Amino acid sequence: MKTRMLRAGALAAFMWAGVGRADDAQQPPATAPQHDAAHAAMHDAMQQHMATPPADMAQMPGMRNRAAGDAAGAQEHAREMQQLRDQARERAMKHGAQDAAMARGDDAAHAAMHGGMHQGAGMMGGDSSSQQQGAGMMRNGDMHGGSGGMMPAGGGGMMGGSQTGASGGTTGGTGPSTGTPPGAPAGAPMMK
Amino acid sequence: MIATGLSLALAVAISAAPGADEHLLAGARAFRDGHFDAALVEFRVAERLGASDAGAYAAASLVQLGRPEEAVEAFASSPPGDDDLLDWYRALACYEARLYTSASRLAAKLQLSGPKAAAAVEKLRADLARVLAPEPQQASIDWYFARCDDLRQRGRGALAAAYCREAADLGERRTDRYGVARASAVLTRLDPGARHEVKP
Repeated sequence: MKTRMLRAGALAAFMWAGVGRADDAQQPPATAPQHDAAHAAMHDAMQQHMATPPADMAQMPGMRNRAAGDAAGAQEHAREMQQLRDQARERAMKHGAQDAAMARGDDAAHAAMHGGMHQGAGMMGGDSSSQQQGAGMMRNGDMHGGSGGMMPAGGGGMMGGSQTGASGGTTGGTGPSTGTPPGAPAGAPMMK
Repeated sequence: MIATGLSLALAVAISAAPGADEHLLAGARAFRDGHFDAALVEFRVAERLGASDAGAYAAASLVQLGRPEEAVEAFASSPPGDDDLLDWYRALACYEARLYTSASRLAAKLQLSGPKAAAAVEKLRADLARVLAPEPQQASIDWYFARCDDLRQRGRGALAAAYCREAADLGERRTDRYGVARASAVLTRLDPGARHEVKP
C-alpha cells in the first residue's frame, strides 16, 4: 500500500514538473523581453549616473609630493591638537577633583568656601545638591564650567560681578580665610 | 529509487522557478533611482540565480558606492570589450583603485556616444596621460608590489594579480624595467596564464 502511494506521489511530482517545464517552454517570448528590458533599464541607468572622476584625482602612489606632504602635515597637526586637548582635559579633571576634595573639607578655612559654593551653586541649580553638580562638571572634564563652577563665590566672581554673584561672594565666598578681595574674581587665585 | 525520483522531480521543479530577470530588473530600477546598495543586492541575487551579466552590473554598483577594488574584482568575472558603457565603469574602477595603466588601456578603446559621455572619456584620458607621463619611480612600483603582497595574503588573488600587473606595466615604462621580472614571477605563482587572460 505504502509503495503504491509512493509511486503515485512520484508520478504526480514528475507530471507537475513536466507541466511546469512545458509552461516554461511556452514562455520564452515572455521572459526574453523581461531580460532585454532589464538590460535596457540598466543601460539607461548607467548612462544617467555616468560621472566624471574628480579633477586631478589621479596620483601615483609612493611618491612624496606637496599634496601628500600637506595631508601628512594636517594629520600630524590634528594629532598634536588632540594630545593637547587630552592633556587639558586631564588637568581640568585633576583640578576638579582637588576642588571637590577641598569643598568636602570641614576645617574653618573651608567653611567660607562652602558658603560661597552654595551661593555659586544656587546660580546653577538652585538647590543644595548643586554643589555636587559643580563637582560633577569637573569630573566630566569641562574645563571652563568645571573650574568656574567650583570657585568660592565662583558664579558671581567669574561672571563679572552680577547681582547674584556679588551677594554670594559677600556672604560666604570672600571670608578672610580665602583672602579674596571683594570685587576681584574670587576664583582667580585658584585658576591654574 | 522512489526517493531519488522524488528528489529529482523536486529539484527540476525548483530549478525551473523564474527570478533572475526579476532581480536584474529590480537592480536596474534601484540603480536608476540612485539606490546603489539596493541595486548591488539585487544584482548579487540575480548572479546567484544564474544571470551571467549581473556580475558586471554589481561591479558598476560598487563603483558608484565608492568601492573600486571590489569593483575590479567583480569585473574580473567578465571580459572587457562587449559593452562600452560597462567598460567605462570598469575603467573608472581601475582609475579609482590606482590601476592607471589598466584604466588607460580601457579608456583608449572607449567609444561612447553623446557629448557628456565623450567629455567624460576625454577628461579621464587626459588625467591618465598626466599621471602616466613621467617615468614611474621605483617607490611607486614598490607600493604596487606591497599592495599585491597584502592582498595575496588575504586571499584576494584576482585583485592581487591586478596590482602586480600594474607594477609590471609601470616597470616596463622604465629604461631599467624595474620590477618586471619580479612581477612576472609573482603572477605566475598567483595564476598561471592570468597575465594575458585578465589583462584589459
